Amino acid sequence: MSDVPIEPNDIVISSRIRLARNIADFPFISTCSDDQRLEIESVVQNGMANDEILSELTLLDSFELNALERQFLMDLQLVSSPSRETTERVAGASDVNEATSSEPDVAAVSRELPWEELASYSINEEDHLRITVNRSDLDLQAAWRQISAIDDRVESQLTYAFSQQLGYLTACPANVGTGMRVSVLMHLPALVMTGQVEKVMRSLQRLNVVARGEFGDSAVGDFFRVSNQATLGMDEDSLIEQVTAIVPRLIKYEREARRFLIEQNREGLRRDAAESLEKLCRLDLEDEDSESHEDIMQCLSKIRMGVGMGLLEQADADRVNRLFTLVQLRDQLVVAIAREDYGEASELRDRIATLEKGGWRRNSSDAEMIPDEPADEGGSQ
Amino acid sequence: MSAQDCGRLNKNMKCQKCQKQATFHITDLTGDDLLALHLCPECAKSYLETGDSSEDAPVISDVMSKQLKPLEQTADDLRELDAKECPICGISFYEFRQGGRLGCPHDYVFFGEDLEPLLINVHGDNQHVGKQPKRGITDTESQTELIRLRRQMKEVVEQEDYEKASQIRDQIRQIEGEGPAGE
Ligand SMILES: [Zn+2]
Ligand SMILES: [Zn+2]
Repeated sequence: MSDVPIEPNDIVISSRIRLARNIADFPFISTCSDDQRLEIESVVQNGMANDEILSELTLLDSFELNALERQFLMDLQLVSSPSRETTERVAGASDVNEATSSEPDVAAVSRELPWEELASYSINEEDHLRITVNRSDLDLQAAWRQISAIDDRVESQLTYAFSQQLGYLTACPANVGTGMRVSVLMHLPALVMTGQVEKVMRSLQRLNVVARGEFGDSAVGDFFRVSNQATLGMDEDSLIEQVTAIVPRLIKYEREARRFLIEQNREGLRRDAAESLEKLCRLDLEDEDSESHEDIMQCLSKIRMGVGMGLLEQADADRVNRLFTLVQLRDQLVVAIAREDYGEASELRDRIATLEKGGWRRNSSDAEMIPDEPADEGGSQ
Repeated sequence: MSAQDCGRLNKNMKCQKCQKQATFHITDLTGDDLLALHLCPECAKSYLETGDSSEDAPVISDVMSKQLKPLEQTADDLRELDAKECPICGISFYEFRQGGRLGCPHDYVFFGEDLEPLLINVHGDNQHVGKQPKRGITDTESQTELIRLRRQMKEVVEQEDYEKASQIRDQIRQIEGEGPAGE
């Protein structure tokens, strides 16, 4: 555990801990009547409302959680360059494209994400209560301290279903014990392209770690979530250790595969990334139907890898950043609405409008790159 | 410094398959131990492209479905087990096998022996270590009692017998309050 947490990079995206908890007074969800579900909801909500810290937590359904997780993928630092110091350069590069200060500062957007507070919970999904803490770094120890503190507070309000022998009792026996899933979201396109990913995934299982495609079974966009397989018989620290230990190995493996690919066909990769960028700019990012979502993720994957491998030009990277900023703002809007924070929602709406007016879709080499109209005076922020 | 790291720096390292200069240093995760391979571009290409599909580690869902069909049991035993129903939530073992979800916390007691092989297979263990609720741990029996009482309370409320309901409520509070050393 002495290791310094790994910083996110072009391969490691984010980390998460999730706890499954059930209230002792009720059957599990599958056998609950509608009335009982409502009752569970009100018991949990009342418990949360009784605690000043818990009442600040965000209640999110799965759709909203997905929107949140997508934010991580869009994080500027993850697409700008493999080295982190370039982040500043990109953000501060107020070149011709950076028309006015009212345009959201891409770096600021990432920093603004309230990840620290973004502990969230859901009610009545597979278990009565699931608490989630996301982090944009890999400090899973910190995530554990945070989620455990939240758990303590919930527990002072509600009686958990718990047994000395089996720990926290969950609807699915695969989660019983700690009820904890520790996971790291990783982008492994080169392992997929070189056909090694299945082999790697199988080998992980022997180390008691599972990797699943993050966006659907087919791992759309080559995003994988690596998590602990067992939840019973190991304490929380050991589970964290188990998952964390795998990450550097996967990074190394992916890097080797990338190096291999680039030596094989650098130009092909560059073209793929550039074409994906053009395609993504044409796609309707708000279209939530699954097919276009898959298209978006595929494009994102190619672009991320292209940027991570230094195959895209700076101008392209700037366009990517604008594009991702827009997607990010839209996702933040979803979250703001879920939190009923309408003040923030209206601010976000204005920033999105400003950015859209800015002609970000155009190719940076076009002469007309500067936004048609300067953004509204009172526009945003 | 580990062998792989040295290999990375060593320009004269030979490919392990053909003795040309090795430029790829691959860590193979598939064995029980991590295996470092040093290969030339051609051998790396064929190595990476063939993959290795002989390994067949089980996926967790497969483990479950396999385990949930207790192979050693005779058909009669299985039928009997499938028909077993939890007295608290009413779920049968068959329903659990189908859906993979239990009906209530009491199922862990009621189907205890039947679940044991599954737990061992998925987790490699059957004893919790790790965090415990800080306030006194209500035993499974009183947890079952809580579910029973809540159901009863609802029934009497429907009959508008609020006096009885308040008694039951106090009983619930008493059980829930047991153990909390807290405020
Ligand atoms: Zn060779
Ligand atoms: Zn039951």
